[in-house]
Amino acid sequence: MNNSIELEGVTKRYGSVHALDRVDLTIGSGITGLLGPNGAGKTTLLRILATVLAPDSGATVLLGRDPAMSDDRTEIRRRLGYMPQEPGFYRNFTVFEFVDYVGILKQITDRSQRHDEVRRVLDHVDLTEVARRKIKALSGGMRRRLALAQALLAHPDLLLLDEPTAGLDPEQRLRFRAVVSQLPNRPVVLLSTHQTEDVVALCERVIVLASGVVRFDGTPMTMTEAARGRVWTATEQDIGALLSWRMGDGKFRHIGDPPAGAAQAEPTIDDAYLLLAGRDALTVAS
Amino acid sequence: MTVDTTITPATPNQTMAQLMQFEGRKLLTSPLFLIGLALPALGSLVFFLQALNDPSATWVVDGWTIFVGFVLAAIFTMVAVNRAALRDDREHAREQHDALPVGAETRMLAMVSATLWPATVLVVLLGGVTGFAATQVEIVWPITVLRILQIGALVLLYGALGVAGAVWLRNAFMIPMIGIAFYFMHPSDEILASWHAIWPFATPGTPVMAGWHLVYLFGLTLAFTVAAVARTGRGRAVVIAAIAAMTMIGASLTVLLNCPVSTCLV
Ligand SMILES: Nc1ncnc2c1ncn2[C@@H]1O[C@H](COP(=O)(O)OP(=O)(O)O)[C@@H](O)[C@H]1O
Ligand SMILES: [Mg+2]
Repeated sequence: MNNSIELEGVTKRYGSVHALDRVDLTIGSGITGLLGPNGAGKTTLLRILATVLAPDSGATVLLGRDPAMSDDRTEIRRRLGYMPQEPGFYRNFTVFEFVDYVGILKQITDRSQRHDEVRRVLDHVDLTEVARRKIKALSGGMRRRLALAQALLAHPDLLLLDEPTAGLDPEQRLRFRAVVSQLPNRPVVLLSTHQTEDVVALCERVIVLASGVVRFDGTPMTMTEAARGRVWTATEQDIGALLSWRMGDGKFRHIGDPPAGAAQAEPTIDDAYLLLAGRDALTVAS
Repeated sequence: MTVDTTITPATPNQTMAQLMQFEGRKLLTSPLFLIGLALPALGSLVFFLQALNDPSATWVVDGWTIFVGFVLAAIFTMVAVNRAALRDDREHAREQHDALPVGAETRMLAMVSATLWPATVLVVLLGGVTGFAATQVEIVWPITVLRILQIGALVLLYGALGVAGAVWLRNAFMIPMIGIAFYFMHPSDEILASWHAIWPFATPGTPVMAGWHLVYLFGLTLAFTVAAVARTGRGRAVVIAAIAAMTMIGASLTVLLNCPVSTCLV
């Protein structure tokens, strides 16, 4: 079975905005982080991979199949788990009912098998205790876990998570990482985020997207290394820096092209991200 | 870590059956359907109490009143199923469901079919009430049986209309309005009697004509069902169903609109 996704020249425009601009990617098993500021095109890319949006141009092969063909698309959807950035819930359904409903739509027709599977995913995200509760009575964190639970039904080979940690408190975030890092069968997991901590904590590979263009593709460690030599500290602010801020110890940390003789600092992944995403990330940071 | 993830793959029919059961259960417990059900149930109760005390009660008048209560229940069912069909829009869940293998047309068809559950409940209830009435007052049988079935047909018809309305109008306002309009719409006595026969609530006076009226209702149901699925699915089955619906409506209208006045009066 071909567990990978391939994109070639994938482009999607909204009016004059290039949400994605000729994106080429091949992604295999394991957890890949899709890092980028708001408006980078992460959601657009995940929607295309989730077969709910067709690109304007370019070729996509998902799990060895072509999402433009109806039969292939159905087969992809059978093996796909998708947690949208803003998941919708049937507020008047109970937690169990909702996941059961998604289970039917995932074509798990054997009732007892399906119910077992629903219990498994609910247990996995720690929602067993509220399984009989109406969704409208759940907290925000519980809802995000519910969205994750439905995506995990039937052990997808391709798992797409759009900003799954947004709005989670540190403890919930930790629990989320535990769930995603321990999935059996090594599916292709693509996780979008604008938080570098998620990437460091979870991902073997990171893709930085900004303005619809892939700016970096590699391991979190090589990404951090890419900033080496481009971070320095000084007692005065350097106006030539791409970005600078005053740290707790009163010194200024700068990123950009250092002047001769600057005091080089150990780079972090955040430095690298700011360098890669450039202006896009700065507008978000401010 | 590797786990066995084999899940028995489903055939489209199995998926349909499961969805239909799921939606049917949701419909039977929906507040709107329960309110609708309470109306004829209350009406029937009043009739029971009255018939037990008053020997002059006649089925012609009270039976009709009770029937109207059931028609109201059918309209409530229509609004309930319409709301159910619109919940993806209401709850912004369309995107995540688009990423699942079962298409919108299957889900809408299951929604229409799910109205078989409320239809059955209402037919059984009306059958029970009529059966009880038969022990108290005189009832003209064949036509009454057709009238009981007509309630089932009306629920299915309104169910299909409710889903088609959700698919094409995409708002929760129109269908209740149509329901109210249906309820108050009544052909004027001035117009030709044969026109009464195509009013959905009418029961023509002879069993044969009442039978044709049922064919007419089922034809309309099929037409609305086709409308409910045709937005996303346009397979051969949809075309065949559309032709069948047109044939049923055409044939029954021809008979009903040409029936002699004496047999088509309500
Ligand atoms: N449906 C849409 N209509 C118009 N513009 C859109 C739409 N979806 C996304 N965009 C635009 O495309 C760009 C990428 O958006 P998105 O993929 O949502 O980015 P991200 O998820 O990284 O924040 C943004 O500029 C956004 O405004
Ligand atoms: Mg997004």
